[in-house]
Amino acid sequence: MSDLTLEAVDRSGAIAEAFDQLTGGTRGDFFRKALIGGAALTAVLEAPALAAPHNTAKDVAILRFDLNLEYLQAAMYSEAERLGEIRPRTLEWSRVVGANERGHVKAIRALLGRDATKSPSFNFRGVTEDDRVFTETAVAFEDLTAALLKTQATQVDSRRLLAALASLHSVEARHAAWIRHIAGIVPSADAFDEPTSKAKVVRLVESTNFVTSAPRTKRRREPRYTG
Amino acid sequence: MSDLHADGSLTRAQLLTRGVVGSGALTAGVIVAGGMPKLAGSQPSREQDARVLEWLLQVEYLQAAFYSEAERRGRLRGELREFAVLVGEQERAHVAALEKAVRRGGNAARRPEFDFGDATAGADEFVPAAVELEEIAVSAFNGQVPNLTRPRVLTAMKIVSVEARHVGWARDLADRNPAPRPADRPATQEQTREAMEATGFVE
Repeated sequence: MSDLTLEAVDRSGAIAEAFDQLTGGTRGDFFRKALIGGAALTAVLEAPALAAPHNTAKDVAILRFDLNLEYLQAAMYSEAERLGEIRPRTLEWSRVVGANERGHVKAIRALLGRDATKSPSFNFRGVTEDDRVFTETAVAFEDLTAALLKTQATQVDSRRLLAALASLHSVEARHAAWIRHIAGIVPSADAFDEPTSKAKVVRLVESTNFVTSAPRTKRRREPRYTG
Repeated sequence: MSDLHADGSLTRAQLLTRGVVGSGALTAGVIVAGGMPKLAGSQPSREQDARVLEWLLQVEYLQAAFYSEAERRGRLRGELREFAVLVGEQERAHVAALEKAVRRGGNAARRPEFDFGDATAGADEFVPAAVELEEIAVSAFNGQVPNLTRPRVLTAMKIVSVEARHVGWARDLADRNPAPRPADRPATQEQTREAMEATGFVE
């Protein structure tokens, strides 16, 4: 097992905002909507586009964080596909996985409904044109996303969301194994994959300096009065 | 887009030449709804955990026996051998973990008998069988995760993640798309039982 680093990618600081801004305001005393159950649940699963999501504040925060992570991955892999500078096997990976991540963006936006946020802006700083750095970065993101989803699976209030996250989670693990195989790293290093914290993912995102602007949120500022 | 119905049957070459897998065809609705598990009517409980884990243990027994036999017969070479040895070790670790959890719940697990025929005797039959068994495991776990209490959700997620890595690896070895869908379709207990029977491995 080689030690993966992102040393080729610049380090900076301003990015956590993009993720934390969306998730930080959730510790307050929000009222919780009742979990949907029984017939209502079935209806939602069969016609999610028509159903208004009934997400708790905590679940909205979790989904928004995931949405940003999916935006980042989708944008990075789509750019690599568009530029076509990486090796054929890696390029094929970015084609297939990019499409999957774009699918995840749509799915999570649907789960969020009106609480969905827009994508931040990204600058991948040449990573999408350099096979080695792209591969290392992709391994790091796929491994960490799969690890993060494990933590979130134990945190979500809604079992419907848990089911959705589980079905995305195993696809991230497939992506991780595939890109590891391409990189010549053991695809499945341990018998059990451990969870990771949101803070660790934020640190990874910060270290890449990929996020150049936070998405606009719907939060309105209090008007300032000078007089 | 007709390519999307392909459940992994597209080869690498096809993917490259066709440049397929446009996500546009996959509406969010399909992903979100397309095979959500039927959740158990009852809320998660320790009793339900024990039943679910005992069921998932059956899936792990099948996998562990398959790889152990492949290793014992010694007919695989190169990376396939490495795959069988490492994955077998991990499946046996899953068995041990689930057996422990099931015992703690006061139940005793029953280990079924298997007959793998030639599936463990050579690369041509081994690889597709490995892909099939790993797919069964991923869909079985994904289908049961929502029925578990939170501590056991984590137990199951730590395992299914590794099963998904196995299937990604096995499919790449088979020259099949390792991640043919944006979301993995969960299976009910009944669907998993049928898929296991369809392998012909369970006595």
